[in-house]
Amino acid sequence: MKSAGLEKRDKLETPEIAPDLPNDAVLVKAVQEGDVASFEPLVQRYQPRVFATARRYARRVDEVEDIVQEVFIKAFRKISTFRGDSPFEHWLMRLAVRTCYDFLRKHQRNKETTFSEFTVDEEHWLDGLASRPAGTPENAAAARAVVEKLFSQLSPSARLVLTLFAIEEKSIKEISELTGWSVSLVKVRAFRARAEMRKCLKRIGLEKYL
Amino acid sequence: MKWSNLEQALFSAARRIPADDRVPLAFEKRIMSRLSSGGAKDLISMWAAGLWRAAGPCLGVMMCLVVWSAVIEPPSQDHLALDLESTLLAPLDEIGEIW
Repeated sequence: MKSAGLEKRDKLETPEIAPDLPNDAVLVKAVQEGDVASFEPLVQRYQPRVFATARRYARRVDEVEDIVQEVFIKAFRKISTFRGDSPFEHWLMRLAVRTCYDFLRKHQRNKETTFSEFTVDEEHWLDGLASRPAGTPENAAAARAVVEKLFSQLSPSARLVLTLFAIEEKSIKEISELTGWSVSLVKVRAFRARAEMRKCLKRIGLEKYL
Repeated sequence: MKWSNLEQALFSAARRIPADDRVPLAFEKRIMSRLSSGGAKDLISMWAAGLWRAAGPCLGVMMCLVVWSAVIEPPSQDHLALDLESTLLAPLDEIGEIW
């Protein structure tokens, strides 16, 4: 699925949400009754969160946009199954996380199998990390690049569980609800993800920073 | 520094990176145009909807056939046996005619 409007990709904004819009329950009910236009305020309201989630798993702009588009199209198709037991936002974020996981699995074969070397900035950041173990050094761009390179080497389930657990600081129960995995499966996958990450750190030569 | 410390340092660095929630201009319009152009309907759901729609008429036809077969007089067993025999032997009769 390729997104249209590629020429607008560089124009990013943090949209303002109009406060006088009806609440989610009203909009969802209208969409369920066939009013397609009522879906637009829902997209407008939640697209920043879905974009932020998608950017944790995909790097390229077109991939991120494809994921977000797929999330909202799936949400529209499946909105008749939303019963309102939990907030619409939770339901949508579950859909977003599962779509991201599907994306990771689909692109597992295409991912770079060889690790690209760290840049000078990233090396500096890692040196700073080794010399100041108590506090992480500045330079968010280098930190982001190092973490992305590291995570791109992990399996889809390890990447998903580590992102949710270690970066977004979700509890095991929350991860279980988001992914649809059982609590024990989440624990097992989190344990394996740690082991996988350690192997990966060794493989890419980060042991010299120990 | 231990492995766990290195991991923690990397994770805490990752946590400090703010989530990028910027949205391309008029992205919601793109989604809505896709939805209104009908691209949102996938083939599987259309096929399933078609099957559900066909289920009612199929059930109706089946009920009619059941009623019809119950109402009309059933053919006798002798006729059935004769019909079967003549159908099975028809090719042999044709061979006989040729020779």
